[in-house]
Amino acid sequence: MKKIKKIAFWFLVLFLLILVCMPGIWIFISAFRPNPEILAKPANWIPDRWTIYEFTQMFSISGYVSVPAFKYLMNSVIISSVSTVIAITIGMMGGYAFARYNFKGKNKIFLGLMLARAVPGISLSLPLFILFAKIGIINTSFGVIIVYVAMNVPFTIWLTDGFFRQIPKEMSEVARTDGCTRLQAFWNVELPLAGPGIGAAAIFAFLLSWNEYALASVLTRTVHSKTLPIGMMDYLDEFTINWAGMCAIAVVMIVPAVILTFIVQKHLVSGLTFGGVKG
Amino acid sequence: MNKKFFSSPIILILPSLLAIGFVIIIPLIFSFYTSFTSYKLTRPDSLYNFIGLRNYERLIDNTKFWYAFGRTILFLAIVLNLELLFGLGIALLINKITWGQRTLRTIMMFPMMFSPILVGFQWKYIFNDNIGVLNNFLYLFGYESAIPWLIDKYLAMGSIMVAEIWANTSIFAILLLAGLLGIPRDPIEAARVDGCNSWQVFKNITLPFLMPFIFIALTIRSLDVGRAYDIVHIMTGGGPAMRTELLWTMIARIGYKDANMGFANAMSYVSIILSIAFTYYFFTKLVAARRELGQQ
Amino acid sequence: MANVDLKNLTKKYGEVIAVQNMDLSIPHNEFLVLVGPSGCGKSTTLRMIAGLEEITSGEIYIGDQLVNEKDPKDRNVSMVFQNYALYPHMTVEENLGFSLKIAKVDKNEIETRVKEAVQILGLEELQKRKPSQLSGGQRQRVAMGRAIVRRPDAFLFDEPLSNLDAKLRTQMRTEIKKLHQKLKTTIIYVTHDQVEAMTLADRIIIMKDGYIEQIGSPIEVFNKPVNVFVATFIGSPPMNILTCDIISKDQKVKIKIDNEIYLDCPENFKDLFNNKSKVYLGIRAEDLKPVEKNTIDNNDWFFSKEIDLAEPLGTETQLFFHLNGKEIISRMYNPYPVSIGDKINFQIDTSKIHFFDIDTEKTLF
Repeated sequence: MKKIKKIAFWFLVLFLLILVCMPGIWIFISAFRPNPEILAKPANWIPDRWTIYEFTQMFSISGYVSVPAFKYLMNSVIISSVSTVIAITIGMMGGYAFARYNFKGKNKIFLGLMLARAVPGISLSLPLFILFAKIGIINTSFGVIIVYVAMNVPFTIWLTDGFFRQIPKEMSEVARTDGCTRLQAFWNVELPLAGPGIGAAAIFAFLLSWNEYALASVLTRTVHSKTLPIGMMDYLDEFTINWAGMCAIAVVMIVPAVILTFIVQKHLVSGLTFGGVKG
Repeated sequence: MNKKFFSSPIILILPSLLAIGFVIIIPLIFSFYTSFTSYKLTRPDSLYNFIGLRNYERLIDNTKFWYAFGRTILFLAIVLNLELLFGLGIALLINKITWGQRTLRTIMMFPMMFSPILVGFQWKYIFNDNIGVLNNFLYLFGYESAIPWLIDKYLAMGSIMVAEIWANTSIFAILLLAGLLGIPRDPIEAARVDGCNSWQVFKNITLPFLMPFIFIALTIRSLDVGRAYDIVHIMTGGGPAMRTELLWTMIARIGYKDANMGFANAMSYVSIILSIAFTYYFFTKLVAARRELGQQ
Repeated sequence: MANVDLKNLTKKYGEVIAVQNMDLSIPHNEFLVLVGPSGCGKSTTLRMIAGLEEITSGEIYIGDQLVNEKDPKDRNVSMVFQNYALYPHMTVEENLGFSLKIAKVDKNEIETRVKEAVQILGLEELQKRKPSQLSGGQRQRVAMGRAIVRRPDAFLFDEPLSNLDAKLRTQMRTEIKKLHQKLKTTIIYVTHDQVEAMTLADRIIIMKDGYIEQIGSPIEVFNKPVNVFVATFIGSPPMNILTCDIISKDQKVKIKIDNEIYLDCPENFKDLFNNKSKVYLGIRAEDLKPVEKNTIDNNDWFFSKEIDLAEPLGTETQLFFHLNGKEIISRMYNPYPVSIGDKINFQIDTSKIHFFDIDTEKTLF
């Protein structure tokens, strides 16, 4: 009886693993599969022939490229990195203020920030589209960057607030009696201690920008500012879909995200739960 | 004076508030205004054509809107509940495992890294009636007629829910697992000694301890419910025949395809209030659950 | 090298008063201990001196300089915290040298001063370690070292020993005392442990609810407590306090300490008891001496009572019994076997007893 239970248990775990991983793996395999094979019926589970054709197409520097994926990748990298750096800097300041100071309306401001973050991208995109067109920052990286900064700031504050709270207040106090100004105490003591957590918050912000679609689909128009998620739609025209190409660009999108998440996963969870539970 | 000024918390929060003010608050005020006009993208001067509450009146009379609204609520109710349930199940499962627990947890985070647009594409690929891996798989078992997952009016909604649940269950699983790992052993052991069976232990000890974590997950999740737009947009675009139209896809269609900004903004406000209500509700629940556990 | 003066110092959190109109002058080189139950304002006082807490009103002088508006870093004081607050990301050496590095002190100078502190505290083996690799006592020592290195005008200690186990606590107590003798600086030390206060202090301040109850040397506060609170707070086990009726009987003023037990009022208190019908009587456990025979001279009190409980502790046995419905403890030195229900004779030297006013709880002299 116990043995049956154990076997059933592990089957359940295995089933779960397949459910979680299979879709991603299937995309990955398809990215290296020649297009005709994708359309084959019955399906060919393991490709007969592996090819990197779609990747060379995407990143080819010579001649005509149907989808300028390399440019999209560069846009994504620049927009996500810059917005992350800014969001983490000002979000960290905010998080520190919430963790270390008491002031009037503190909880209300905190709640207000979270609620601002809850506004759905598509609903926000309508007025942003009009306003950005009016002040002339539509279809620019700059426009997308400031939007992503604002979208990321509330969550960064939540996370960093949690990380700063984990550092005993005495740490900063002893540094101040040791001759530090508040800023020096922050820089020399609190920041290094919160470092891993802040890194996690930064990567979280980066991923959010990296993966965002609704706003970018409206605020970016051309190859100048389109990011990967928007660029992906290039493979999707009215009647046909280039499945292999889409899978390939999907791989380009997902690989950095997977690597970054695995680096910080431990801190990410502790930051989310600590900030929430011991708020 | 200077010193006091720079060390005050308001200065530290100010940049955040400015960013949010510029990108979120001002546009929202603007869109609130346009929701009282007949603004059409194609006719810029219509921005000053004030029509009072007529957009909202049209909204109330619009059955398509109410269908989309009802569908959105139903969609969120089903999806959030199932995600919570599956997430809890997965967390309990992983919590039982002693060997390879961390690896498994990391693997479980996999879907979290997928952009919603990617999730949509991935499931569009899987559910494709012709080349989709699901139909191909069923073909192996002799089920030869292709099932039109994304074309059938009922299956399409179900398929979208599957994609949504696949993408977002992991956030619940991960956070609830963190909660489970943090539960002190003593009360559980005490309950066992007091004669509780495992269900009673779960109900009386584990679940109350888990409550704040459940609400953290729900709060975080409710911040992003609008991202379902991406998934629906790529999978069905609201079709077939608007059977999978949610509030968000309808906003996009009316705002950008029909260029009827005033009307779309009125609708946006409904969706914003919906999102904020969800977040606010779970956030207050979180605060209450925290208080119950005696944590400040 | 500085004295610390507090003038009319007050701290309020909203409506709640943490410290009320505190006046205090701490001369250079004094070891001052602030003691009291939790929430009495002792830590708040210390933190105000350090500059970590804003002052509601009043003035703080360190070395005759008004420091109200000064940042903690400019006050030249060092603080040792209860949980040590060592910088976890720095080695012991870096922890010790941190304040000097911030002050941009010359590298060689930092090295010599760190070395000096390391020698004083016996940390030679541990210099390269991180705080997480240290035991509680070692961490405590590093925390003190960090304070020493700065050569501050005053050391502030905030319950530094309360995270240590009993044995280590005793040991560190001696080390702190030695340190004070070596360094010859002002130390302000906060604790809730009256034993620590008694053993360390040149002068003790007993606080309660934001007020100073009594200031004095350890011997003074022990022998001449000003009120019931101080009397019961200082000394272990706490002083026995019982409510007694004052009665005129056989033309004499008598004090009723139990049913049928009346004792003569000592001569010097007689006048104080005019118009009073009740009084608190305070007797320390060690002044309630169990005796085998009545060997008293005429000033001593003498009575017998059945005991409820006897707890042998080796060097002494503590006897428990009731007087006027209150549990009383007596310490029996040179113990002999006793059992519950035995009637024991007790002797009290009346020069060692305390009387407190029944309304104000203040000592009657």
